[in-house]
Amino acid sequence: MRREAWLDLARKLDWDFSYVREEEVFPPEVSGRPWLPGAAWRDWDEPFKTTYADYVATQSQKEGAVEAVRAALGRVSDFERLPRGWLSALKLHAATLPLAEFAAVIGNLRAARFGRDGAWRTAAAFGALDELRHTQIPLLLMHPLVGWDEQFDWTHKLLHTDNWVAIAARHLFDELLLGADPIEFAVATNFVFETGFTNLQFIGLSAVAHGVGDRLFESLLGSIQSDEARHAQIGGPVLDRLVAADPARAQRLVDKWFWRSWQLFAVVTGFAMDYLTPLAQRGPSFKEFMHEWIVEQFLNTLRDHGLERPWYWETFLNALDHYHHMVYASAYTYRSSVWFDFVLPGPEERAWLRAKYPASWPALDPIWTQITERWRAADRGNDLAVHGTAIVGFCELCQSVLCNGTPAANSAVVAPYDDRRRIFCSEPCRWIFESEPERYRDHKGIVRRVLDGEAPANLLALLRQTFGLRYETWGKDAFGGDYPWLDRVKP
Amino acid sequence: MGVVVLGRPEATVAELGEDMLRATSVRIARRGRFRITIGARPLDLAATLEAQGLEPLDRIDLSWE
Repeated sequence: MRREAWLDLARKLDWDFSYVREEEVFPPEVSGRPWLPGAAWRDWDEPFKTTYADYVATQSQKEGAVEAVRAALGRVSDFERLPRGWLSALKLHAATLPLAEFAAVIGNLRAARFGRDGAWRTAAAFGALDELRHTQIPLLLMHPLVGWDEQFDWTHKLLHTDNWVAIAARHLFDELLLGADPIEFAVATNFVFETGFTNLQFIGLSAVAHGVGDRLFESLLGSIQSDEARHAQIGGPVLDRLVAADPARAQRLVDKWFWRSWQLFAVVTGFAMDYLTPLAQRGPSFKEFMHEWIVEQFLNTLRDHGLERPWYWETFLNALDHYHHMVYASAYTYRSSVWFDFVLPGPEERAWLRAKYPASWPALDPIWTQITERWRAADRGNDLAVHGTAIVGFCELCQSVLCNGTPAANSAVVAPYDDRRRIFCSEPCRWIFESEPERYRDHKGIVRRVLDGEAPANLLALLRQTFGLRYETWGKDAFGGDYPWLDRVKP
Repeated sequence: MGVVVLGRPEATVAELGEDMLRATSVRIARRGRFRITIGARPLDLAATLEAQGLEPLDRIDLSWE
């Protein structure tokens, strides 16, 4: 039988129900709202039209390609040659993504059962298989490194801890991937996250990985990208139907998930591009890359779907100049609260940042002057002499540090809800919370846990007891404050 | 970046400011005298937190004079 003769019957199989109602097969609580009759979804389609046999054959080839690179370049000695800063970028990515991908298996499987059209369900089933390999490949590649550098253990460990990054990541991923119905999942994950932002990883970061000589990570990203390009196609057709049936909800979901996704990528990719990659291997700045590959394309895509730019667009554009810089400076001074090391930007890096961020860097540079002065007065390797001691404030929505706005005007805002006062890092985070307070109000962030006596107020105790860190594994300056350009104060 | 600074009701606003400066000193160099505001309202440095009506989780800003 020719492929064309059976493919649509196999991949786009739907029923007219005779002894149950359609609402019982696809309950709105699980399938998502607006609930439309099946007929409204019947022209849903996606361009790849993959068969299971095609899928297995293609994935097998991709696995073979990654395995070949791993066999050639996956030894500890290959990683020992990589720049120290880049290894930190690798540890950050490795810990943040694999178990999030595993949560995406669940989101895809929910769509594979409760998506409203057969072709959608088939594409989501392949998506679930995709995400499973996106979980397994980084775990496989990083595992041999644990014996060499214990910080790589966080590849698997992070999301099983109550580290503040894990709390923030779970708050995002649980909602995005585990708690969302298939309609929200398609808009949030397939459309905004995968279509909107993954160029950052698969073009931008991949180019940087190539530049520093990390062929294994480059190969991993390329292998994942081809999967993402396929299952991301689920998002557009779902969004089209949502726009037609409930344009206000469509706009709200896009606005919400663009902001939440942006904050994640700003940290994960922004750190790597603007700080952790050695200067000689840097290409465009994070902001330049965002403008070229994300901002314009995303706005064009929104227009294609009949949607407006998010209401906070000016705030977002301002954040492109500030947010990841403010988080990096803050995280540098609280580096013991994470599992990877940080690089102190020296004069040449700061000149590069000043050239790339002329609007914001003059206000950020004095922070690095102060940190550098602290290192000048400290002994090499005395990390805690150049480290914060107070507990940091976190946003009630995104659970990240309060780093939005500018150094001179932090945009954190306090707002009452129920019997509690809540702090948000930005107006978009406040808007997301207040749009669905029942979804977020009971979440306990770090500060609330401290105030309720569930976590220690002492920073060192917090690192050990709550964040799951030990001195041997917690983040430090990647060079122990020992930089050729940094002359020390003689005692 | 926002930091959480514990304040006692009987402490003065000036003492709270010193605590804030210590908490952020790794990033921010001291530049002389400071003022403290809550929203747009300047606080009296000599007054106690209680007298100024400060409550837990208030957002307080420190800026240079």
